[in-house]
Amino acid sequence: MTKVLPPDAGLEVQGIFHKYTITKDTNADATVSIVNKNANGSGNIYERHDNWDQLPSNTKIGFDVVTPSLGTRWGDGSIDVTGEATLSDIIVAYNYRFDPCFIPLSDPSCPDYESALYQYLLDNDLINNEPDINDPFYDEWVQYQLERKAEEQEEEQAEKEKQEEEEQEDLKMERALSVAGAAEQIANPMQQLAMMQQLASTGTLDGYYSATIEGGTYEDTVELKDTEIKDNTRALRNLAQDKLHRTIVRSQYDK
Amino acid sequence: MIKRLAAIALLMSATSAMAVDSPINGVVEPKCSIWTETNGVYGHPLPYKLSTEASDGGVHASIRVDVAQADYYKTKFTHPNSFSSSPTLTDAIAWTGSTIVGQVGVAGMSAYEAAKVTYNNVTEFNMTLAGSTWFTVKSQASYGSTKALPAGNYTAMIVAECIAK
Repeated sequence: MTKVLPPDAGLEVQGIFHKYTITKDTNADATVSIVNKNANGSGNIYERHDNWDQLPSNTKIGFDVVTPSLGTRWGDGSIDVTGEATLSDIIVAYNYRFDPCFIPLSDPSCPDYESALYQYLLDNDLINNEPDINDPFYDEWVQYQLERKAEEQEEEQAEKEKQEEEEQEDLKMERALSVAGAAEQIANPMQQLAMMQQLASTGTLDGYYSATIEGGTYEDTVELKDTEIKDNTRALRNLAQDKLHRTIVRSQYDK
Repeated sequence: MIKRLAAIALLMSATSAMAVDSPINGVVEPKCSIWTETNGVYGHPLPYKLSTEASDGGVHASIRVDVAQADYYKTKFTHPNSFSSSPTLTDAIAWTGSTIVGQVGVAGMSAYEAAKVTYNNVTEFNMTLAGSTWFTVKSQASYGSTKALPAGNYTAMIVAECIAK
């Protein structure tokens, strides 16, 4: 049957159509048999016998619905007549359906494609080993590895960020707990109060609060050594050019 | 005594209030259906003749009858003996026609042809088997012996019926 049915896996035969013309004498006996062998065992997977005993010649058309079964189970087919009759204009056609996701690996859009691919890589020990470039799923393997690497990088990045956040928290606590002056000052009630205030305000910007400016007079530091400041001729020339440009532009509108 | 009568009257009224109409519904699906598979076409081999024969350039009508239940129906085909529409005709038309079993869905239906009953322009078949049977209806019209038919469109009707036996 592989010559009649497409070889695709997942193909199921669900009906058989036949049409033939039998030529015979009305008084003669004849039987027409349409048969398909069972490819996976003995006997026939389908058979039909039309009894034409004492019947005149005619053309017969029929369609038999059968329980859907895999096309690979359908063996060679034949149509024969026994008795005094001949057959002509014979058509036997198989009605079948095809499930494109019968093998999930056949199409990335199949619902179980990812798990099937993972299983394939697992079965062939290709999770951590590069397959041959001629492997039918080499491209998928590359894609899988890229996705895997991307996932690992994302996980690493997330872990790193989490670690940094934890370190920052630790640093703030250390800073809050650090007291200048060492152990003898920790016993000081005022120092303890300051420490508690530090603990309560760990989120504030300590640097600004701790900066101090000493009092006194701050003298000018800018000193003009020359007695005369010359005009910047280049700047004046640019200004003249700007004015000229503006005049030219305006002249277009002020006609 | 008065009290007892009153009680009986109350019971009677309660019983009459409980009465309901309970319908029984049923749907009868058709077990015999008729389908035109090929519309007939008249060929015009001679000026006075219209014919569905292939050799005359025509096409026979093919009508399929599907019978779901064996031996409950007969089919009746009436081949045309007049035009349902045509140009004005001033002379008589000589009609001939026939209905034969074409293709069969069951080998035994091949026997319908030998058992058919024909009268006037009617052919009856006894549908003793379940399945599909294709009937071929032929028709031929000759105008006024050998007079040329007027130009125009001609239509004739085949009547196919499924009748319970």
